Amino acid sequence: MKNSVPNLRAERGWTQGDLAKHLRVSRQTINAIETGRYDPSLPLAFAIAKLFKHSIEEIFQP
Amino acid sequence: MQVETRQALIIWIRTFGLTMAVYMALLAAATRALTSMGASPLRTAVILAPILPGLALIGLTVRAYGRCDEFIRLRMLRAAALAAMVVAAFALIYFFLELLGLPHLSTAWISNIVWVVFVAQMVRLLATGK
Repeated sequence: MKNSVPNLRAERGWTQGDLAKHLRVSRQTINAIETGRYDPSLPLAFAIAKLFKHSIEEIFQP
Repeated sequence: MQVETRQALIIWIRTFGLTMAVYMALLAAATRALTSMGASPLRTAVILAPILPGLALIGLTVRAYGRCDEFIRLRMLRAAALAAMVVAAFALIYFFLELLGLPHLSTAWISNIVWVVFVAQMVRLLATGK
């Protein structure tokens, strides 16, 4: 699944580690999501959407 | 890696290594008791003693699983699945090799193979993130 997490994170000047701390997951999880190696669970996708103040559909595209 | 998840894996590696050392020590004692001790309750206890740290290895791993985030949990499940498949392949191949005359192996080898394959993947994940 494609996603705009790298762009949204970059807009805020955050590192992957910063985003990981906000979401309370590992940096490896963020890296795996950003590179498309891992599709997050629904709760994590909602947490990402809430953090960036976007809808899930705006962030994740099939 | 987030501090909590990374710390959980590091704690798991350390406690796993320590528990494995205890297991090996008790295994050595049990092996010696098999040949050097006469039948007694003490001999039975010494021979059965390695079961406790052996089961503790499983408990430690389950606890670490519960402390990690979803991606690391997925990697742990994948590592466990690969370990199971390696054991299945080994058991299948060695069954036929036994028919050709290779010595019979104890089922304890299954545990050894599982842990070697599983721990190797977890150490790699911790060291490289891959």
